[in-house]
Amino acid sequence: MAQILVVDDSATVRNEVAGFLSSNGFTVETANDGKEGLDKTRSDSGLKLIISDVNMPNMDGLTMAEKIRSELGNQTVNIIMLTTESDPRMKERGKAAGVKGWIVKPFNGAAIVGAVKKLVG
Amino acid sequence: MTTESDIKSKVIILDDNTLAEEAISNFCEVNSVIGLKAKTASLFDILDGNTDLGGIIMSSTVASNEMQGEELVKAIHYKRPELPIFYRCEKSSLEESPLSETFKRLIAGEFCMENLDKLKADIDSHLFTTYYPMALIRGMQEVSLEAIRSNIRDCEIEVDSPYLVKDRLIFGELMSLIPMESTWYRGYMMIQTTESEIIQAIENGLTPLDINDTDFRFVNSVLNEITNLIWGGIKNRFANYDDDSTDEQAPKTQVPISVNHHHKYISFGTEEPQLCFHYKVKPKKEGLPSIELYQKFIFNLSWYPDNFLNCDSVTEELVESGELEFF
Repeated sequence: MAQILVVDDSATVRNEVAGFLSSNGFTVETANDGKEGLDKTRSDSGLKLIISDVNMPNMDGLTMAEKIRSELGNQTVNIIMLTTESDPRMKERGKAAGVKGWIVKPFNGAAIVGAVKKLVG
Repeated sequence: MTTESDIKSKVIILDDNTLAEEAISNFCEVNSVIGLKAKTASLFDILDGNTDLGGIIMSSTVASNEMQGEELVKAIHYKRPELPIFYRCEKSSLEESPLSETFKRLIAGEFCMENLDKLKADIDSHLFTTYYPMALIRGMQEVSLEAIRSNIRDCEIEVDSPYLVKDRLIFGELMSLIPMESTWYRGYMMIQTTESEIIQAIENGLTPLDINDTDFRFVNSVLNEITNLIWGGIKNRFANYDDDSTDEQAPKTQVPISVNHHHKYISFGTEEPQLCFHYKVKPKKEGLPSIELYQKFIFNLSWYPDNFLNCDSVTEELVESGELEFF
């Protein structure tokens, strides 16, 4: 059972974020796109946090967040978007879907670990 | 890191008259043109191998591959029709027998040493046809350098002056391509590199990947992430979110992009020069090979740089990358 799910179509980002978090004691699972992220969220009730890209094939990160909220409600898993996007309209859409935070790439590992500790403990 | 930001263009100089060749080189230096003196014997090898040329300045008397004058121009034009040819003639011969209209269609323009203003006018009208604001150029470079550094670590990066290219050859084996779109530009960005250079960077722990992830799919992912970060960085920095003058739902035009793998050739359907940046990524650790990255922008669908000036003033308000913004 993982604590954190990293959803990104880029292998380099998945590897880097998962590496930072694992080395800080978190258990991490990864998914290649929003569709796989949604499936893994459905099947893992122990997830505390999802860190997701926005622009991905098959299903984008914001659609995944909206589906998770509509299916699981707001009290379950936290979601942070880690993306190149900073369009205010996208952020508004994220907020409406219950996204808790937004990090614009390129990122630094300390910011991610800090955010995760704040949300997951 | 070393950077320059004046826009230039690389042009082959092919001339059998040493004095004229020297004078043209000097002309190039003061007119933002990088003049590359070529040996006539290797002209066609240069044309085959160079991926970033703007054009050719050649004299009517120079010979290559046993061809000269009109015959040589035809051969060059046949091989690389996208490259403008600036053709030097002796003033007296031009006056005695002007170039035929058929021949003039093969060249960008003719000039003589007594009138280099004509050469300048021809170069301007064929190479420096598009206005790129310097603040935009600098911003593109900064965003790109940040993206490269976050994916290839412990390196020094050298950046050539940005330059304009007319040729359409693809460098290396690996190429990423992404649409670039805002309210004031629409086109594409390409990044080209060599697979073995990225593999060695992975093997030497310079990328976020595991050192054993050297399969070509992982190699692609390094280039893809650099491309993605640049795409996002440029969009965030230069997008004008306040501009509601365009209808996002309106149908948008597209043109086919054609790629010829055999000739390593890509066409975006436009005659406009491509804006090119060349990055040489040099690992700090001695003995490791450098990575060459060629980045090209082709704004083939729309380009309104005046609108860039409107959005440049709001960029300071954007949130810094890497920072977490809690909702």
